[in-house]
Amino acid sequence: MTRDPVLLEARPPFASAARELLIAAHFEPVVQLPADRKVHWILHQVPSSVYKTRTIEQIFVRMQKEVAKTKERHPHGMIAFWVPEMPEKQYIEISFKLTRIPRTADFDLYINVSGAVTRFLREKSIGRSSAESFVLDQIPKIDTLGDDLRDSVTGKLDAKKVGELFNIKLAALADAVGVTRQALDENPVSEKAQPVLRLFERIARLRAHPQLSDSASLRKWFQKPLPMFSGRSPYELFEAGKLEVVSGKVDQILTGDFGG
Amino acid sequence: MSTPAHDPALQATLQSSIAVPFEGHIFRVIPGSSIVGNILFEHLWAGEAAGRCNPKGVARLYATLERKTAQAEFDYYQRLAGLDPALSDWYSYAARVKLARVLDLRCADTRRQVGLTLDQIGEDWDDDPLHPRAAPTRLQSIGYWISKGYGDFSGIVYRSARRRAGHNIVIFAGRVIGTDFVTPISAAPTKGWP
Repeated sequence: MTRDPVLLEARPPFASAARELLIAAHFEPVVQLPADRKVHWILHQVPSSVYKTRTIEQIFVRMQKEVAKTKERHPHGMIAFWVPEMPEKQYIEISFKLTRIPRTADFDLYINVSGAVTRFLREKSIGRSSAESFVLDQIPKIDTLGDDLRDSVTGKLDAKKVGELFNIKLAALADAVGVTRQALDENPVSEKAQPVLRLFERIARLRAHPQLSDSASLRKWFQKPLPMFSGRSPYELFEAGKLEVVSGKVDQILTGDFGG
Repeated sequence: MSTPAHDPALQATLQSSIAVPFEGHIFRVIPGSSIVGNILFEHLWAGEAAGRCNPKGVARLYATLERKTAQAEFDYYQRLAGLDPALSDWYSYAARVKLARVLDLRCADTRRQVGLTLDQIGEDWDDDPLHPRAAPTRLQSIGYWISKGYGDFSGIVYRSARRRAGHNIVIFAGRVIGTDFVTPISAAPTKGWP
């Protein structure tokens, strides 16, 4: 089975340890990507110059600049920011500050690379979002098909926009994500919601098919019992926590993969 | 559906099963869409969804040996998805293929050797998403072990369930080796047939 690539933006001597852990987790660490290849996970080592010998306030400002710069390079990726040389006390202070800012501006910070790798693994298992298991994920710029589902500032998938497209109540999406309705209402681009929203984004690729190109047709399709799902509708599978089955089939429909 | 359990008997059977060379053209139909021109033949190798000859997680490529069979498989699958194939614009891929060793299930002796009947090959393999079967079908297990190198096969040729006298092929990624090749006639799909 192919390994999911993780773009490793790290420097010696830390890079080799990160590489080793990524391999142990059955990821493929890559340091450079050919233009036509897409990567979903990025492990970015924050230079120690950003956080050494400064006050917490200064570090926080510099850290946010570093985050913004990195996100600009990887607008749709899941980035784990890694600070291997940060003292533990400082790490906790920064983490505390992160809980006090708007969620749309937050970022995932890790002092140990194992935490970041575990995060990738968890997301992979929730969304079964192995880039290699979806043929369409190989297509350059495929993400642009879901641009209308993303927040224009953060580039993250927006639960409210997804809910509107599929006619799903925010409470139902919140249930699937494992947060309260209020939490998702306040932060519809929550990092926690991204794996589930990514499955919806893949299903929304069906709009590329002429028979489902308008939102109303897609909504209707999503509610319709289908032989492909043993007479169940995609919505029923969403309710049953099996949305990954639907997103997998959408990939097959659009690529003519009849599976035998 | 899970990965097959360790099965030394099946592995040993595959090691001694009849292998035949395959040379010819293969076909696949794909729906017209706003992205169809970007879906290159090479991308198709990334498919890892469960199929008739593989459990989920095995990189493989399904195609047919005849154009009409490709059309029949396409029509059937579009209907399963609630789409009307008659209203679908369609494109196709064709590739020239040469494989030194395939498991040819069109042959009764080979079927007997690996313990499969025609009915078993044609049986419904797709899981009910809410009640997935506990173990893969025998044909899926065979495909799985072949993908792991048992018997040194590159793929399986078998009868299509969608067209009488039609045949399909599954080729496993990473098993196209040595003098084998799978060369698309054109990288991007062609409207209609090339």
